[in-house]
Amino acid sequence: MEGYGWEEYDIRTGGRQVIYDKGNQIDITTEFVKMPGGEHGGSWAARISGTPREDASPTIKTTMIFYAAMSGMSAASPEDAGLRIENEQDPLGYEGDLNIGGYTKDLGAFRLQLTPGPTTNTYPEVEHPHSEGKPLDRTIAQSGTIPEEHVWQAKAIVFQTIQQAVKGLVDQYGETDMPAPCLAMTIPNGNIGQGNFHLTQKVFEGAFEFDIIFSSASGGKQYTSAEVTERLSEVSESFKDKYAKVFAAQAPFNGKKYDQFSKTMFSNLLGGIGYFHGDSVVDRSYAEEYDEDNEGFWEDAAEARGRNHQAKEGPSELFSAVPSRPFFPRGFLWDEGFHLLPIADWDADVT
Amino acid sequence: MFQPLNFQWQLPHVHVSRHVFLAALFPQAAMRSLYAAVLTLLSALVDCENTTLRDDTLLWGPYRPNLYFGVRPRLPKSLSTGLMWTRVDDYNDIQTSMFGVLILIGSLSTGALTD
Repeated sequence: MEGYGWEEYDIRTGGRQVIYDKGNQIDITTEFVKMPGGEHGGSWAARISGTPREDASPTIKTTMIFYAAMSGMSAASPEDAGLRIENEQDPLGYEGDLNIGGYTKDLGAFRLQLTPGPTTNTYPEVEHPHSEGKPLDRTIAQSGTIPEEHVWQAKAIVFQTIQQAVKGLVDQYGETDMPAPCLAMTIPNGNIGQGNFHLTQKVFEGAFEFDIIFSSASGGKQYTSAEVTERLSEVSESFKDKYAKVFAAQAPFNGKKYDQFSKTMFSNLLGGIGYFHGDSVVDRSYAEEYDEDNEGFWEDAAEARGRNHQAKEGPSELFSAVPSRPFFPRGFLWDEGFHLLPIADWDADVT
Repeated sequence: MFQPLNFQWQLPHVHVSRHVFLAALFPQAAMRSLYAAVLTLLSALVDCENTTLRDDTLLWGPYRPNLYFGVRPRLPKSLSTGLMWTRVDDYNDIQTSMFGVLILIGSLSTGALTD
């Protein structure tokens, strides 16, 4: 990973993040925009695109996995929340849009639409008996229900699902006659329908692009990719205009390189804002070792911690910028005052 | 410290004036961090009627900064989305790319496939 971050971002409207993924030899761009309207906080869309890096083969194969999970769903009170893939079950996968419909009390009804993307997308063609049952120009999908406490552990679930799929193929074909990895390392086209966890997977060859469009039913509009394109350029323009007004650069720091640098710094600060919810682990023993005024205080403090007076408290919620997305993606009060200095200049109500 | 707070209560519901006023009070750079902290407190204390409407534009966002890209609303129990990817030209890709840490969970039994 060479670096990643939001290069333009306004928390009210959206922006663009670029991920320079050296290891995978592909740069991933995630653009995000909000479309206001309706009674439930509006709609939004994400455009995901991949551009092979200079050192990559033009036929580089990349797989993209998108998941949607719903917390607070229960069979006992189905009126509270629901989430389901609306397409008709197809063992070969899904051509065209994949639609995930859902509702909660706060969000009302909504639809998440995963588009196939432009016709310029290309897909690997694998010569292997297994490819007949799994054409890679389709979206692969699977719905499931997992324990509420595991909903956030999507990565582990995806990894295990793919691992099992590969194992199954090894059993079926043997290690010497395996299908190409781009086909083998895919989730099964399993059951789709109601569930609190939905996995979707796409496999591309070379550059690609697709959209994830969330349309809120009370907004009264199902957005299209063409509208997303329009909205993206609108949002990018308004970001640049606002930036020039709010953070007008002074000589000698008004060159282009400074402009880009400061936009990226600021956008990533704003784009790093997170919403966190859950229990905290708190030690309220007020052990005197925690005063840390003896020599070797770290040993005493460690011993005090070893007495296990920690207990869960909460839940509570936090809306905060973070000191560093890769190394410290959590709230940190000490830093937050400094984070809020430029944010207050940009949009005082966010602070 | 108490003066600006008291004054703040009498300000009309215009956010910009609150902002400019406090900035003028704390001109030095070092004091501006304090100002930002005070501003945070004030935002929690004053005029909710106006912000509720505007907060609608803050409901959704890539509010999972620990992920490369994950959109969720500012709601405790709700929809949560995420994106992952890996190159799939080689059976080892999945282990060395962003799934790296997950090697701990269990290694793909495909070691013999790559060479």
